[in-house]
Amino acid sequence: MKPLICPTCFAREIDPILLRFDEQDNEYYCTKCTWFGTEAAAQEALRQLMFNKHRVRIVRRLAGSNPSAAER
Amino acid sequence: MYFNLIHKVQPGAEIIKALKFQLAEAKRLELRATLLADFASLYDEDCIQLMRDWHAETGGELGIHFHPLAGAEFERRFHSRERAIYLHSRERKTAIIACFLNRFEEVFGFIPRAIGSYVLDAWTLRHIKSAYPAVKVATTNCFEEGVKMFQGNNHNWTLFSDGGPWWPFYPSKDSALCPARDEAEWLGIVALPHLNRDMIMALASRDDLFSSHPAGLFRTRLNEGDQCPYLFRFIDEWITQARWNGYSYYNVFVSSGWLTPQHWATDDHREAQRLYTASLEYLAQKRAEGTVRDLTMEEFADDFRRTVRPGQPQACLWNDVLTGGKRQIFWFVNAEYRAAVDLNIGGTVCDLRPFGGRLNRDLGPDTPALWNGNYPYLISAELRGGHEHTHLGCQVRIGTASAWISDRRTRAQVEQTDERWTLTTDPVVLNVGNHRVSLVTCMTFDRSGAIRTTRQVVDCQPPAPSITLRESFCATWGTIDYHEDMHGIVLSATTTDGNTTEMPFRYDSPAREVDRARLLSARVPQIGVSASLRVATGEAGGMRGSLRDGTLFHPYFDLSLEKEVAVGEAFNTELVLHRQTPA
Repeated sequence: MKPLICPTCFAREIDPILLRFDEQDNEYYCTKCTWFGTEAAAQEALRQLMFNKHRVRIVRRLAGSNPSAAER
Repeated sequence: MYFNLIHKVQPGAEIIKALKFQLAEAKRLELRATLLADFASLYDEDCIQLMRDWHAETGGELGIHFHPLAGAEFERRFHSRERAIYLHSRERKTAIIACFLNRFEEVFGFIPRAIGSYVLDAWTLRHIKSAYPAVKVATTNCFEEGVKMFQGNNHNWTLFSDGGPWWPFYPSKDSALCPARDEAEWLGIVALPHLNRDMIMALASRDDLFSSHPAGLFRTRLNEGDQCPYLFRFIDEWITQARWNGYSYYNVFVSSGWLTPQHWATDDHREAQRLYTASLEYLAQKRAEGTVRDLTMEEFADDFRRTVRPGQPQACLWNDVLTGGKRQIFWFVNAEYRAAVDLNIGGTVCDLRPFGGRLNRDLGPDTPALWNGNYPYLISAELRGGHEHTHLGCQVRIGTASAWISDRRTRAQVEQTDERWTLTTDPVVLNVGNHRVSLVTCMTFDRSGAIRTTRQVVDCQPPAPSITLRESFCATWGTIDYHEDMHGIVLSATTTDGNTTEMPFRYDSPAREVDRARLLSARVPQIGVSASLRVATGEAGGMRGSLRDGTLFHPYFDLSLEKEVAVGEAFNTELVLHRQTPA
């Protein structure tokens, strides 16, 4: 399995901060910040952050090739 | 828990209106409160009248706050653009202090007992005590405001006071962030922190946002309207700290600008007002329940003098009240060092400030430190690349497989008996090859410069014929987040038969392995300390030891001791910090 990136540290543009897994609590956690949660929560948070962080560029790129996509 | 409610008085119609709201709430709840006036306020009739009224009506305390140094009168007298008292030359500080305190006496008829600044260095505090002996107490530092806060405010707010205590203490004559060992070493003024800080976010983030000033919570948008449950958990967590100290301390040092309609920190200033009121009501409720005692700064200083002696250590076991997560950090400070143990990395020391050198951190253009009031570290995981590079930690090996205790998070309990604090972790369960090794860490702290560590293997499945524990002290020195020159540092090893081997830090030297080692040391003249990792009394014979210097890429040295253990056995070591003549 690929290591999970800490979403909070990603948001602060610090890398590579990879989440550790706590078997007892079945939970991922960060050793740098206070983030913790499930694998799905980590992936979803990262996806949201990536979208918001690069949104302007994505919208512009899409607008160049497919204007209707930008409206979505 | 002692509670100081401190307000900063500043001129301006909107500011004064907000301050009157704050004072009305304090009065309604019958909370003792202190007003500290800035320079401009002492030349502003509205501010002066407000302070006189407050003092006359409630007996509330009046004092001064040195920040900002601003206003027409300041410009006229000093022709200076420097707003921070701590960044002026000694000559200028002397003149400003005289002007400020004499003006206060002229207006109110007495010398204040309580003063404050974001930073006050040892020279300034000694000077004030000498020139104005009536001054008893001062807010002197912003706990762990340094590099991270500077980055967070866009490199715009020059305030560096990392490395000191988080609570009231007796500052030493030589260095204002080092607690005095005894009465003779104390400079004569009780030091208070500027605000209580979140003791996890103090390392993990910028703790000016996560503190007892509600404005910080709005700045980081931790509120939802007028709701911020974190603030009440934060207060409760501070009340809890009395368990291992015999007392607790909390201050709310609030300005007023954040309660005005146009302030950027809030969406609606009425929400901020409601949360502020709710927080004071909560503290008043705790007072009614008998767990909080409100008093003025001077009253606190008098009580502190009666009940806490110089040199008495302080401990803090902080839970993650921000997210409700499992993370804990244990803090300990005495007159010899300040240490933080992060349970999120298995009970590894993640920050260590050795005070033995009593380094001068006076500030101003006429001092070597200039602007940098941070007290130097030997370990700073947060500033220097994480716990992999600087730590006091433990590696477990079976054959060629290994794991660090920092691979697993854990929780801990604190016990205090007399003047000894013992931190005991729950077992960390490490995957070492095909084995699962359970290890408990026990650390003992007291007045001395030693941290005693016991790592005990409590289980190993499947059983292994031999388990190696490697206690590692990996350190460097610095005050900020950049590398410093490591030349001059000397590592050494002493064996059971008294032979000593030395290894100067020359960058990228071959590691030195030492059999029958009893004591490994690092002399760090830059910060005036020597740190020794030694086999604890009771451990038989010598251990395998190693000395490693670092590279320019990773300029950290490592002192390691190893012991073979079986299940049920422990490895006992001590990290001892000594004074060393500074370079």
